[in-house]
Amino acid sequence: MVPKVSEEIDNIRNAVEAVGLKKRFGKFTAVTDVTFSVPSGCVFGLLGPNGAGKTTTLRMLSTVYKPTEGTARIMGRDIVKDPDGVRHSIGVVGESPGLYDRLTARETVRFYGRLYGMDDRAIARRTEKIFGDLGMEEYADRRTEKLSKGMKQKVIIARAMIHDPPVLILDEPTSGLDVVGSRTVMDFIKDVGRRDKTVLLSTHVTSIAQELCDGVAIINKGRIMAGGTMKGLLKKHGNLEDFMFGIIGRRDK
Amino acid sequence: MRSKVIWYLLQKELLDALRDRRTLLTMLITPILFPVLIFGFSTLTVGHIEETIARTATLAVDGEENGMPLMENLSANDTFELVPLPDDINGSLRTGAVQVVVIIPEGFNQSINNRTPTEIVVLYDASRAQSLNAATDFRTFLQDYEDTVVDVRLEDENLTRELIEPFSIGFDNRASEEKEEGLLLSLILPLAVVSWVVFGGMNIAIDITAGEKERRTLESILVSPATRMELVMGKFLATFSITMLNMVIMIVSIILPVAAAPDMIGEGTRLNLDAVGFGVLIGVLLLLAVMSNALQLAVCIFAKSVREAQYYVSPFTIFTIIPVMFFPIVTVVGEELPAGVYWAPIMNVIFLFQEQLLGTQNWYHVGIVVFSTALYSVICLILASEMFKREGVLFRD
Repeated sequence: MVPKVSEEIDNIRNAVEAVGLKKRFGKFTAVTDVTFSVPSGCVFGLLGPNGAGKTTTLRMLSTVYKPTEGTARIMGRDIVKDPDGVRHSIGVVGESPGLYDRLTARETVRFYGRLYGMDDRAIARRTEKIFGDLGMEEYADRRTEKLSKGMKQKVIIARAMIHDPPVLILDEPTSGLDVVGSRTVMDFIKDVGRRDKTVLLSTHVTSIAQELCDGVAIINKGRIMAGGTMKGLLKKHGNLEDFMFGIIGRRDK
Repeated sequence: MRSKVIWYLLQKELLDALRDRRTLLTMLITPILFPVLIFGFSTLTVGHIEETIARTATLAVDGEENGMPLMENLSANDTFELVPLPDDINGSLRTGAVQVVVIIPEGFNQSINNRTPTEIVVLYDASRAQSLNAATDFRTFLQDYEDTVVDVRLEDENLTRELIEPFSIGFDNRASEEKEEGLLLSLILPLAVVSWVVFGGMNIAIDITAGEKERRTLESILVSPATRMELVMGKFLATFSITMLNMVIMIVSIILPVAAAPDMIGEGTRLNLDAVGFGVLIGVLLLLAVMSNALQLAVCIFAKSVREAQYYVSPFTIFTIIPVMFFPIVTVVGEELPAGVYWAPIMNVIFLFQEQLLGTQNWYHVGIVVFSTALYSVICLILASEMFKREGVLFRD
């Protein structure tokens, strides 16, 4: 896994290909020249401090933001030219994702399933499977406003997984969760990673990246500073945290 | 646009809204309270006015001894209650302790008998309705007394009344019955119904736009395959449905009782609407709902929070209040109101509504209101969909 990719895009082997992504908000450039690729079936992390441009990058990849320059392909589909196609291929867990308080967990998941064009029977089957995997049966019919933070996070993951997308995009997936909640989410990501799904996540916690990711790109001040496979980086630098701080500079610590 | 996706979005919005106690409260309780308050208040006020008018007026006389035959007539009259002359006449009149003070000059009776001019002075406070009424009543009483004096003089001279009354005057009110009977209703009903149509969907409009931003649920829809156009249509139809539901509740709770039993509520509340007039109004109200719902969505999606959205929608109130201020003009000039006002959004519907209730059917005005409201609706719908397409609006930080 190399963050800098060749211009020719072999979109089957690479689930995600970002080429020269740039996003400007007025005069402020949030990210620039973001280029990386993620092979199918890998867990890839965007690692960087708060405000580095991780969320902006993931929002561009999930078609919420239109890139100012550059583009990306997800499962071979262009995020600028075919955003609708891209949306069918991705499941997104945002940084501070909201849930419709007055809908139950099951209703929430069914609603999103329907938007993906699934019929109710397929949704029911898939819901049963996901709820079983995540241990959510007990509160499946409870309104989400009554759920704990950890339970809510599982509903959000179930929502993102309902249409069985090949690519999962998670923005700081463990942020705000307690130890148990974080562990559940991390185990889930590992499990998804083992099932030939591609996971693209952002985090500012090096230990999470180290535990979950097959590869990382270190992002700071809107630019990709370095990257590579986790094995390669650890072999070369020993410790991911030291490596990251070495790149982004002590002042940003 | 896929109708199925719009339907799923609409279904979700309605389920979410109808499970919200605040939405239900505003939707059900207020339409029930509204007519009770409005009509209850007007009934109370009318009742109070009638009671005030019926009450006997207090009257004090300065110089009772100067006008004995007059005083005897006055004592026999039920309209006035004789009270002792207060020390502070002006103060008593102003506070309403006495409504009228009558000054009978010395030698009043002699002057009458000698046929020399004399004057009775009536003191009252024109700023107090009761005092003004009492003074008017006392003038009638004095005119009756004057008539008896004149009759005696005519008899003495062997003359008849025709000499001083060459003709009599008959006043006949030819105002259309509809206009009079619908007057009070045309003041209250258009404002109530139009406000309901304009504000009925406001809470849900705020909730599903700025509210979704605040709760961060919007992003999850934006990454789904629903297009922005489908999203805006789903939201629009949800707001529109709630507005329609509100309108139906309003019609059932206000218009039907008024139509069924107008006399129970009071004078001026007869509903003068035939099928055509009713159809015209429903059509215009539907267009108005489309316009205001679309505009509210466009404005509220710009807001970052529910609180901010509430500030943005507050100017809508002005549009419903202004026509109420103009109401007296409408009743005076009626159909001669300049055609320009029928182009003014929201207000034009109130004016048209008032016109219909006053029994006027002006198709030129109907045409302007229908056309302009339809035009504004289309503009507002385009504006709303454009707003939902803008990243800078959806993610305004």
